[in-house]
Amino acid sequence: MSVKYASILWNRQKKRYDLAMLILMVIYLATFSAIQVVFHPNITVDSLIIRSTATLSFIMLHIILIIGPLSRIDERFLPLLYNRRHLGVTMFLVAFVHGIFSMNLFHNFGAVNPLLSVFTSNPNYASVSQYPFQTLGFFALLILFLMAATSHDFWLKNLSPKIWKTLHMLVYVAYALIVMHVVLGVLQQETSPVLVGLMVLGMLMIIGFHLWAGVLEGRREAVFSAKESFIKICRVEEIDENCAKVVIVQEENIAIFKYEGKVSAINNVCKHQNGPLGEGKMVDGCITCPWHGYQYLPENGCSPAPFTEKVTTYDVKVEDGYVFVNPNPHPEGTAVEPATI
Amino acid sequence: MAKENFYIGYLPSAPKPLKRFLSRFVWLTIPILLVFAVSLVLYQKDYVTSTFEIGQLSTIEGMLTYEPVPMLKVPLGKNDQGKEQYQSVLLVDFGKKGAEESLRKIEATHGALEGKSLTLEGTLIYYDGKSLLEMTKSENAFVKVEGGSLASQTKIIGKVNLRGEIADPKCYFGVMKPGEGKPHRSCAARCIAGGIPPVFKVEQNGTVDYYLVKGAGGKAIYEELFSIIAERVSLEGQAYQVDDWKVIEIDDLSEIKRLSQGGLPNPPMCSF
Repeated sequence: MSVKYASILWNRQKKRYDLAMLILMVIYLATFSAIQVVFHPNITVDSLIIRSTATLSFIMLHIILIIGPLSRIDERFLPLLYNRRHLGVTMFLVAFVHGIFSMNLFHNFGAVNPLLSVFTSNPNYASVSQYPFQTLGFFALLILFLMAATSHDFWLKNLSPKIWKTLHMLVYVAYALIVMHVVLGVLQQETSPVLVGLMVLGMLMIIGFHLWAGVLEGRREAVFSAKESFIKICRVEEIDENCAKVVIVQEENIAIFKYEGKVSAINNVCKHQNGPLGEGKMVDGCITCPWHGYQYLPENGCSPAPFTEKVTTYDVKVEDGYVFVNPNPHPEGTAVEPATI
Repeated sequence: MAKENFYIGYLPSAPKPLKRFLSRFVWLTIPILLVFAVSLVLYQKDYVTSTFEIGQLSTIEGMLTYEPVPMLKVPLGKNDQGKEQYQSVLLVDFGKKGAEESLRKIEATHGALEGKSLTLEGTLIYYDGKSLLEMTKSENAFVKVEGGSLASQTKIIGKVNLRGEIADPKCYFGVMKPGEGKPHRSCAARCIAGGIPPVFKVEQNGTVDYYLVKGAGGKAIYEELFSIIAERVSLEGQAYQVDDWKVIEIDDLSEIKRLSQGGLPNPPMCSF
């Protein structure tokens, strides 16, 4: 959590994360380049750079998009999600090298400005097979740049979580643009079914993991539609100590936490990046979001000072060993007396 | 207690089972990356043996002609029958630019060059029996000019209908790999728009032939071909050979036909 624009707050885990990432990148680039030189000795340095950075950044984007659903499926992947922005910024830099080299090679040293040339050198916008695919890559890179440039909690705070999240959800638009960039570009020339198959495999993995995570999430969230003010949810012992049960009651997404002989209910959606608070845990007396560790006090839904995030709270009671919750939300940050078990 | 391995990145240390799990995941990623790297390389097309002697300047001497395109007719020596052999080396400028402007600048200083023996310094490009010289230093490529009396040999081929792809010779014969096809299309368009003579690559019965492309009456055409560069098309026109380069003069640009490339639909033809 950070509220001011400071450089990365390094810790041991972040260093290990980045080191592992860099080692894997080097392994890929070294292998790709070595095999190219052995099997295709006539390749030029430019082509080698363009192709190695293109494939590496595309693979990294797949990993980035899969980490989200993967950590919903198995929470042991959550540490990968915590530092995902490092992966994202690095992926952008690799894609940027690809973009700059391609623009320099294909559009520079001509009579037209290279940037203008990207949009005017191929006029077949009405065609599918001859569509100017480089424009798609350009817009994808633009989105990735905006995401990388705002990949800091300073921007999340200043743009507002809603705008920031909307901006960063554009990664799916960027992915779609890149898929079309590849299909209408290099795959028009490199027609091996294996290459097409690898791309389809990547797409299926991304779609499949998202669907899988969605199904699991639906199963975790018990849905209640009764109209009473207090709804019976479950027996107290069904909720693990320092953990939560997530329910959807009258369209309210509620996380009911049990801790220190008490029960509290707050909104399940973290103000940071919409993380599922109910999949988190009580740490140092605070409900802690599993995605990036944003914290909220269970009795009032407020982040501890100096942080200012607030979520809605709900009345809760325990009777005859059962937990009841009132789905009518209190305004964000309203103190609610925890129910005593 | 549930969520025993719950861990947030800002905490000092992750639980050991979590460390082990993540470590295994990272190790597993390595063979997956290797499989991708190997597959992506092995299943791509091979690169041609074309050469661009980048960083290596050569000096060549030959008779300059502007028709059908600027080139030097370079003597190669005598063959077994004692007959002098020549190769026409197509001239291009640095970057995506034809040679004509630089040659005219040289003429402004040294007088008319056509038909004379001209020595130029530049970077050689060659592949598949064809050679080009990039005047890397533009008009400063000039070394010397001397009188000459060689003439081009022209042979009429007649009306032809050819199928192939329009490429820019500078990239195709050496500067880029691949220097043809859809990924290279924008670059080829910029090169040809910049005055590099378009070349029609014709593949027929396992052999490849190259034609310089001109408009009706030998008119130079560049941007008129913009929308069909790097596509499979058929061209119809009068063909002839000037020394070792074949030329096609397209009678009617509107008669150029796009050929099916399989799979995706072709775009509508442009109006020339």
